[in-house]
Amino acid sequence: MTSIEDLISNPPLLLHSSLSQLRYLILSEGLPISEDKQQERTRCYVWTVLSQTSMEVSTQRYLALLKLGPPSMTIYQKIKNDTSRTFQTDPNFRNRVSEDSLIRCLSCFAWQTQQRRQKPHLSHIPVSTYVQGMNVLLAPLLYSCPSEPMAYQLFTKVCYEIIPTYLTKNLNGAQNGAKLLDISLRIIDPKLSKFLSDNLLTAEIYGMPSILTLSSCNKPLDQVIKLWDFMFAYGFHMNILFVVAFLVKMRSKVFKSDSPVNLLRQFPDFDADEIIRLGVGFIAKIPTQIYDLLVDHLTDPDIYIP
Amino acid sequence: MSSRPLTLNGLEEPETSFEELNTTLPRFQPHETSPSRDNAPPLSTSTYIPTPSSVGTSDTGTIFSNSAGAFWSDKQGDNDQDMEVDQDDEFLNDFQEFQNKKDNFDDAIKTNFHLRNRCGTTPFKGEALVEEFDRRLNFDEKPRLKQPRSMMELKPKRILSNSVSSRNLWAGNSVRFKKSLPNLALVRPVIQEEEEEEQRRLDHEDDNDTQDTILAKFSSDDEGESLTGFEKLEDESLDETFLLNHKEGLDQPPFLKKNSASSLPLKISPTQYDIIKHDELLTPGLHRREREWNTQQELDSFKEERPMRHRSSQNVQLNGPAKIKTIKQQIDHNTPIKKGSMVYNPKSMRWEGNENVLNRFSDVDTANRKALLIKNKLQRNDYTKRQKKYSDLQNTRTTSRNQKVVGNMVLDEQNLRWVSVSEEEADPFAGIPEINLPPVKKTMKKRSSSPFLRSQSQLSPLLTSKGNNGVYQSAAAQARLRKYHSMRTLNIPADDLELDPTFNLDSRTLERFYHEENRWSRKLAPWFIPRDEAISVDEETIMDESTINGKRKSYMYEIRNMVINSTKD
Repeated sequence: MTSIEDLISNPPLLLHSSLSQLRYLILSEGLPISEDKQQERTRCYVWTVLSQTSMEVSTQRYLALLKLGPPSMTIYQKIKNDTSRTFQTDPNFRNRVSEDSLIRCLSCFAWQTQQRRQKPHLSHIPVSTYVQGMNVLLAPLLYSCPSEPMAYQLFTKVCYEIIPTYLTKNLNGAQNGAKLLDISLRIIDPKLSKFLSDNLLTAEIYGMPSILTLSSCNKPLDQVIKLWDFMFAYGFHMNILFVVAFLVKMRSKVFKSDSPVNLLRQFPDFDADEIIRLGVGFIAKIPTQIYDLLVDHLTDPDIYIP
Repeated sequence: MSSRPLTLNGLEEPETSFEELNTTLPRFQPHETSPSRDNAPPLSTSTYIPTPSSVGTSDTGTIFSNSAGAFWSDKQGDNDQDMEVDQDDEFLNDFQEFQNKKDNFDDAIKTNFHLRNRCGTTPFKGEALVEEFDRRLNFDEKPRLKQPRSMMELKPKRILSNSVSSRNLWAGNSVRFKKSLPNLALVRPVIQEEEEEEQRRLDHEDDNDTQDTILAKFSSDDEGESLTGFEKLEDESLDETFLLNHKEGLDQPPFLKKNSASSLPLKISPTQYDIIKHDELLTPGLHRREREWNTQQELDSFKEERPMRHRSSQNVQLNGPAKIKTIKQQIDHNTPIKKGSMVYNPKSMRWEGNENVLNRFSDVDTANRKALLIKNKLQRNDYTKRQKKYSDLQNTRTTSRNQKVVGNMVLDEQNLRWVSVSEEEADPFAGIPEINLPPVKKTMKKRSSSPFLRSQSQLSPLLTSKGNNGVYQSAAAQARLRKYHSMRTLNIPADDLELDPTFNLDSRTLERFYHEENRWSRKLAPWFIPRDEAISVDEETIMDESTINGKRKSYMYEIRNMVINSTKD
């Protein structure tokens, strides 16, 4: 039993410090990537603990939403369009996650979002019923969680509370994230930033998919999972810095490439530990105000970044 | 006198269980047959039925009161009355009657004792005995003829007994007995099958050896304290029987007497001569019985009796009288067995008389068939309406095609849509079908495969409403109707989606969901107790996002703090 399993198996004496301890263990030891069912559970458990997502009555709620059936036709069509393409080339994912479960979760999310709109105090940030990319956002959760309702519960946690601004109608938060990516890249790797801007490549072009999906659009999925381990521990704002790390890692190729746009359309396979190491290292270079923006832009829709 | 029989009649009938019926009915039959032989006119069912009148029985009863067989006659009288009552009584009365029956048993028991006492004294007196023997000799042969093989087996045993008459009686009795209960005669356990009445009697007899215990038993089992008043009588009877047993030594003498008694009293209604005593004896018991029956169920009461029977049977086996009693249960072909409107047919061994009850089920069958054949139903409805309102042309057309017609609309069974009878209307949805049709077809198929009820229920209101109006709908109404149908088809895709397997999880999956959630709860619930106090993550109860964000954001700075601190070093 790993120390992480050991930690979460025992009730925390002080939640705050125990959570800090758990975060540190994620950073220092990490959770192993494994097909083992128990390992899968442990990861899901860690995620729920770190995000403080309770699974109580999650199944009941999920099934209640499921009873509503598919959402309105337009949404349902959008969902089905995207789910059929979700990680189509990843046999691992296809084996573990059915398209139906993606459809179910996204449909439930659409229903729940509609329900939340009836309650203004909950819908401070108007999260969309469905935006393209939610399917990819959902994929790592379904991939990692032992049951659909738990994945869904985590998904709602992510969407409604962790990155609600990313999922508004105009993707305001994601656009702010792109701006922050530009800023960060300019701070961290001015040369690369200049090269990209000279090629009229803005972060909104090359960074949006990774920003919106919290890097889950990158391959391989198992490495995405490890990134998510870290981000569940220390915050999904780190995703911006991880995207910077992706870029920095491939900078030499970008410089050499005749068509950087094509190169940046899909980031190459990555090693999560390396990306994390880079990303964490960038923190030191990020000024406090920018870091504040990184933290806030996920949840504050009113941030304006020039 | 008269009052007693009446109550008995009412009491006896009620028995509903077949077990009861078998035991009770057989008992009286032997009596019935034997008396018929004695009295020259053979008992037939017809003759038997009329007898039951209390007056007739009472006369006979008085005649034989002195003879040993009186108690048998008594029983028979009761049975006769019962029979009569059965015929007349309604089913509803059964319960009350049943309760009363217990009383009847008590009566029988008491009469039995009483008679026995007499028997004990009488046999030696002479004339009565002689008469009885003669009678037995007379009708011994007939019973034998009826007898089955088992009788042969019985004979050897009986041969040991001294008196020829007794042997004969045994044979005859056993024969009859065999008919009703073939194996029982050979095996003593027959006693178990006997009626409660007999059982009690047997119990008392068995207990003759130890009178004290008997009394105690009797009081405890049947009558309780209420019977204390009767103890004297019982004691006397017990004593006498006891004496008889000792004197005669062998089982047979008592047995013989009892047989004679049973044979003689056919027409005698023993109730009458003993009635006074019965009333005295039984009334307390009756009251108590009623109470018991009211509180307990039939079956329970019978269960109580069973163990007693076993006990008694074991004890009784040595006694002749016990064997004799089994004889009483015989059923004769001549005796009509009736319960309410039901008549027992001994040849077919079935109860008859309620065949019409089955008619209901045949109706149900046909009803079901109709329900499944919606076509026919609709057609019929349409047909009647059509006859009123429609031209012959339409009639012939629809009938010939075997189609459903509503108004001037005809169901196009191939395309599963309603078309005008004239068939000249252009399809307003001509352009659309290519998109809408697939789902429509799909759902229609589903519905046709699954019970048709839904579509039927949707259609029927239309039909009935039309029927109520009594006026056939105009073209506009028809259009509305079609609109309704078309809307239904438009709605179907949604239904279809609801039936989508994507949204219908099998039970195994659901089970796994709950299992995983429970597993999670078991392990991680402690991590979330403090959360409820600090931050409520439950979306439904989120109060202030800013505070939550503030708390949440703190951890987002942890990594920064670590990095900053490390770089400082």
